[in-house]
Amino acid sequence: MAERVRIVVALDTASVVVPVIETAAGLAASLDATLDALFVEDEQLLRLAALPFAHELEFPTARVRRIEPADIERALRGQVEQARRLLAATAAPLAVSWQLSVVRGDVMRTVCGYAAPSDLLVVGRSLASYPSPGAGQPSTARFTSLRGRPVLALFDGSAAASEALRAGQGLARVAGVPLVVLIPAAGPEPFRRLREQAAAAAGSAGPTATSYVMLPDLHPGTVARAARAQTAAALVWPASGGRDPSALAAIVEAAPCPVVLAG
Amino acid sequence: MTPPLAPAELTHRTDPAQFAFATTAELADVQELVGQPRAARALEFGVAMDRDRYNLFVMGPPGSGRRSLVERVIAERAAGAARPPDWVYVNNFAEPHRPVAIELPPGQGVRLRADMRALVEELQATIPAVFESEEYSARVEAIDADFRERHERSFSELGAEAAGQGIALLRTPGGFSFAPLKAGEVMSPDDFGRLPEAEQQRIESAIGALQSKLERSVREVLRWRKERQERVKTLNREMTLLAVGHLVDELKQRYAGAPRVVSYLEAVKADVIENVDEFRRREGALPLPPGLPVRGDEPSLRRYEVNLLVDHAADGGAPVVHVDHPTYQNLVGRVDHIAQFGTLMTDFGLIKPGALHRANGGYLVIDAAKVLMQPFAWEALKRALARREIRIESLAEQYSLVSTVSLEPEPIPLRVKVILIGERILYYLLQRYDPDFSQLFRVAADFSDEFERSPQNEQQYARLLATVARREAFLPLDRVAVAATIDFGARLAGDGKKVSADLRRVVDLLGEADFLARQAGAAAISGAHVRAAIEAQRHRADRLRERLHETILRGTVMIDTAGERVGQVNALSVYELGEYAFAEPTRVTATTRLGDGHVIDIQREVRLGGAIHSKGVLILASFLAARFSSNRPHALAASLVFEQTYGTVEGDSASLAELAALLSSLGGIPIRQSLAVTGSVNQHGEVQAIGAVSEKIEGFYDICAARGLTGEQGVIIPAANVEHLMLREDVIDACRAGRFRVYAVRTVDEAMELLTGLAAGAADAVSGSLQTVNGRVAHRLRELAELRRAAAGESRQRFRAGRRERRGRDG
Repeated sequence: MAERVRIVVALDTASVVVPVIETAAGLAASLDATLDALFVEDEQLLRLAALPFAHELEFPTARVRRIEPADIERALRGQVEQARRLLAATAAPLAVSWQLSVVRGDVMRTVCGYAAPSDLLVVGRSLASYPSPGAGQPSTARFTSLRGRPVLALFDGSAAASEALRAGQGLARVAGVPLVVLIPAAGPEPFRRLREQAAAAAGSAGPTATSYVMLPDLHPGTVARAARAQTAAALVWPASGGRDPSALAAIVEAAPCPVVLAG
Repeated sequence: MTPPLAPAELTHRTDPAQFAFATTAELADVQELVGQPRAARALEFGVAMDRDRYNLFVMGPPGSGRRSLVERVIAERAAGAARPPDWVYVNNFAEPHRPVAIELPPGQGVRLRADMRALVEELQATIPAVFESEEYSARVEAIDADFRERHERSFSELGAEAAGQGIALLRTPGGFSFAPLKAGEVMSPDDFGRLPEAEQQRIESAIGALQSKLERSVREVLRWRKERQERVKTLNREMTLLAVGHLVDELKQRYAGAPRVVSYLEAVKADVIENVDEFRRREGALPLPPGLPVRGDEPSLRRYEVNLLVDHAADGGAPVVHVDHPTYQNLVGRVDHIAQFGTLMTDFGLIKPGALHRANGGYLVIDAAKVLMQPFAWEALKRALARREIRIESLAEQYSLVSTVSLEPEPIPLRVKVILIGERILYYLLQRYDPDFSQLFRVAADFSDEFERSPQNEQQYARLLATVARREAFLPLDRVAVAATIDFGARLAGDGKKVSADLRRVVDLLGEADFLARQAGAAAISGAHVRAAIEAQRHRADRLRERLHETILRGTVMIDTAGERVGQVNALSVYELGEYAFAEPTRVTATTRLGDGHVIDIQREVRLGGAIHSKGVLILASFLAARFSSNRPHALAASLVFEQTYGTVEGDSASLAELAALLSSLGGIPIRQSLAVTGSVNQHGEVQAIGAVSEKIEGFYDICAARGLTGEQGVIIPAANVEHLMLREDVIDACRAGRFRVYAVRTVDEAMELLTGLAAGAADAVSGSLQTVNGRVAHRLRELAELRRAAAGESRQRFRAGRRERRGRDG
């Protein structure tokens, strides 16, 4: 009997929580996976708060105030509770089972260490917010952060890419959005070959509107630009080269949407 | 001696031979009202008079055909008139509590309502489509991208600048912060403490500078966010205008002839643009809370509905409205409320029209008594007519009975012809006590209680009966039945020369006659059926008459119909029970004695006599004094009483009988009890007409007939009443056979001769014979005068003797 796939969703203070949780829950629903949320209390913040001159510029009031470690501890507990409520509200309608763990450490290192190679890892962090969905959408609707935006899956022909493609396809189907396959290729011929390969890999996964876009390279900046151009709801990235925290941080910080690390 | 009336004078039967038809089936319907030319002309004038305040009051007895005539005249007039405009109420977007009234050509109201519904439906489809279009998404995305780019660039640049100084920009739970780095990690407090002081100051200073920049960035982000919202809002307006503009423009073109509709459509467009989100939230909208009533598919979009108050789309002319229940609200309309969350709410859609709205531009027919009985209705009607506008005002609000949201709908101009139908008394009361009435109701159509019984009118009446028979699905009437029905009408009128205008009772009679005719399997209603129906009606209402009749026959109530008595005469009293009247004899007695000229009316003394009755008694006292005591003291005291009556006696129709009893008592002359007397007298002894003469004769006849007619019995009536006689056939037959008599007299003397068998004679005590009525009375009065004079002389002598005696004692 095959082991159930696990979706690990990384949360922390800098996470853009709603899209990240929705992406993770959508993946769990499409893959019949369990959802394992990991809230990382960023130790750098605690260290910052202990500095004698530590101040916080509140957003959006732009008021400057002194912060103490106790303030950060309290605020983190509040964020954990908020994440718990959001997980419950998002997972329940999708019949997805979930759990939430809280750890303290460096966010990327902790997450990469927590997720097993077989897990799909969902991360989304930004100093700014992600693009908001269209105005006037009802708050009770599912996948508000994904609505009207495609799921992007990066396909480089690797085994991890095939898995990423299927994950992206499942997410797109559950959310009712199109799938855009990003193919890094030096020219039309490699693009065509990889496209056929991608189509073959995705063939049995069900009817999803799929389009293919050629990328010149796999640089996080290039992918992030493509994601912006496509107004991506989520980006599924094949973890062909392992799960290096620095590489993951580079991708996540560049991307305008949650990143799913698959394979 | 006055002879009895001939049988031919006792009634005024209609001759069936004057009718050329066999049955009324041969007659055409009659359109005009029989015998009411004055009322008909007044009505036609009032209805045709196309000026304000020429409203009508149609007065007359019920059943006179006044309502039918009103309906026919205004129906004819209305059919040829133009349809009045439709009226709608729409939302006032600037002041929702003051809904706007819009006038539209007839039939356009329903069209505008349909157009507005179609517009809203189209907007509900078009607006979401516009906002889901790629064009809109692209333009929003462009705005967002611009915003995001500036946002990210701002933070990236700041982050890069900080990193260049070995400082990290971090996201905190509540915002942002800066921290010095050591080997890519946030420096610990210990490490920071170990740094040289100069380095610490540099870092703190650098962080302070970066914090200031961050503060500016955050403020800029807020400004950009606001700018983004404004740009999206402007875009939304543009997109909405794209959706709504051409649709509204099409409607504006369609209603170009109605400027207020065009203004309204402009207001609708502006409101839709301002509230476009209400059209966008249809899919997945939150359900309404339980208990909230839903009208229409979208509660918030109800404000674009059109409340079609008055619709003349299907009418063929001016409206004719009859109000059965003219309450205040049924007349001027109302504003309904619905309960929402325990509060009473309303809007323009809950404005309901009144009869004035529906009749505007046409005719409104109201029962005067009903409108006067309804609280505030009469004042509201007058106010509307005087102001020439319909203003819906909440009574409860006016009188502070409720405290809730209400509306002040824009008044609607009023142009209506009001026709009040009512009793004559109401007209005269309103004329007397309501100064507004004569200003607002300038035309009176007065329907007579009866009409002339001319040959022409009888022919018309026959056609009227034909019309009634057809309308009521009765069998046709043969000519005898028609004659009998006319006679019935004359009997109702109490006048052989007139016919009652009360058609209602005629219809009731014919209904019963039709029933009898159908039971007998007849093809037409005959005279026998009509007479049987009359008898059946009389019999049903006859219980009290029979009871009184029985008390007389058993001697409980003493009425003599034979023999002679001094100071006692049979008068005749009429009893009215609703629409049924009958008469019975009443014994009137008189006593006389020495006195000072007063006649005591015992009925009046015990307050059982009405004013008119008292007047009659005073008149006869005056007659006695004038005739017999013009040059001597009137030394009479007399008492008059209606024996065995226990209720109020009113009217002067017994004054002849009372005078006869007095004269009999004075002269000691016996009066024949086989006769009954009716009639009033004036101060000259002339006998005047009274009412219900036929019923009175029949009342005495029935008693006499029950005891056995002797040929001596009869009734004395005023000669002026002969033309009113419409006696029953059995009474006439008895008269014809000489077993009963009816005498018509002009003076008291003629009556006394009949009652006493003596000649009236001269009213002079010197020349008058004791063999005459007046001679005996004059002698008796002279005796009384002398007795009084003698009594007065003795009194004077006693007075003088007494005075002398007092003077002698004093001296």
